[in-house]
Amino acid sequence: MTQSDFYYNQMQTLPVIDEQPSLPGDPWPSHRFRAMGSEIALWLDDEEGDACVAFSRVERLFRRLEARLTRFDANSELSRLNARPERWVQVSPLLADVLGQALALAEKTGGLFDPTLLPALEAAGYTTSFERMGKKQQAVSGSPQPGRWPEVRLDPLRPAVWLPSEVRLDLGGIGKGYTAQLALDLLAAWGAALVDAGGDLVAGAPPRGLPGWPVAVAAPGGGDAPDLFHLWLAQAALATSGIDYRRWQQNGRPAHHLIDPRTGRPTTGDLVTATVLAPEATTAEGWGTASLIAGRERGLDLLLAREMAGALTTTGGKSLLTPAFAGHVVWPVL
Amino acid sequence: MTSTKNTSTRSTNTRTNPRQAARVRAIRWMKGLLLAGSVAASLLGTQLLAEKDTAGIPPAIVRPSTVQEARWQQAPAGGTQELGPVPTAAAPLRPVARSRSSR
Repeated sequence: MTQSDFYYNQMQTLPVIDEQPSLPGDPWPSHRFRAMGSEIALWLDDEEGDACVAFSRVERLFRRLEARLTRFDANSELSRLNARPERWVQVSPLLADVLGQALALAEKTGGLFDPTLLPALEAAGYTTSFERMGKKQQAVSGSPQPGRWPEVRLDPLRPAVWLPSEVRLDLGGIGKGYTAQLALDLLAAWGAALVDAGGDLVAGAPPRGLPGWPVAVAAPGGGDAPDLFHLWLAQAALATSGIDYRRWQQNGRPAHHLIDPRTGRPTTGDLVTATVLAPEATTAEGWGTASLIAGRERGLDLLLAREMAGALTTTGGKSLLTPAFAGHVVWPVL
Repeated sequence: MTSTKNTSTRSTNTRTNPRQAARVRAIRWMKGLLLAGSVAASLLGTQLLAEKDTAGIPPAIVRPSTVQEARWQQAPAGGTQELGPVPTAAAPLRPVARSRSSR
């Protein structure tokens, strides 16, 4: 068998859509705003012409959840919880639910995803929102601290949380994914919708006449680089974790926001981005981060063993796809 | 003192009662067989599980840095196989959103 034969045999095992529907411009009402330190965009395949009402409600939802979950406001519910270690603190059902999902993901990923890395993030220089950060950060007090998620206690019935001494929570990424999922559920009352929360995409039903929402996985670094993959997204979430953005210099050394829970320092692995396609945004977000931290070999093994849909981009520029992910790619033709 | 006495009693009994001695030997044999069987089953089970794990994990597909390189790879367990040229085509859909690291 020649190499070409092998390639074409491979092609036959993957679903290929023969005819792509033509897409006129951007035919759906959309709305953009900034929240949670990110650019948020909404699309609605609106049948009734009420998109403005729906968009307004979703924007208010983002503002409300940001006020509770941000670590950059000392008065947020999360900051007040972080300030009271070694005692049971009553929390809202919302915070308990987000933390519950974060701890469940920490357990499933063997601690590669960890919500207790705030002290390590601050030690790396990420002390204020990225929009306010300079490109150079000074050293801050405190040393890198590995993740300690197993020591966090959550009582979902009261609901209440107990944090050990010197452990503080950062629910940034998972909080954004959680909010995007709630936003999608809200928009679903009006019609088929797509939510883009700073690069984490969540789609509901496909827009009329199409198999899904036309979306892409961007090349690391962005700019004018061509997209890596195009796919139709429906009833699923697509999240990318990467070290190609939210970078800065600390004491002359490059730093970024993805902390390796094993060392408490910015990860130095062989991946630039990790994209995961999953039924919910929080799952995609958690496994994207976990596989990036795990690195090329172990990250791929983790995704393959669970038959998850993921694509990893290495520092050498190669993309490694699981078969489950390749099955969703419509361009380039695999 | 007590244990010496017990051992001596058991020894005396088996010596004096051939039927009981045969029974004790049979029980010892059965215990040995059971132990050997469980060790063998455990070893075989581990091997089967390992084979299942390896067989259950699908291979990954490796895409090179650029489409222009036109070299694709298939990475089965235990190695990487390079594949022939890939026909390229223009993107058929215009994405409205892009998944990327947090912006």
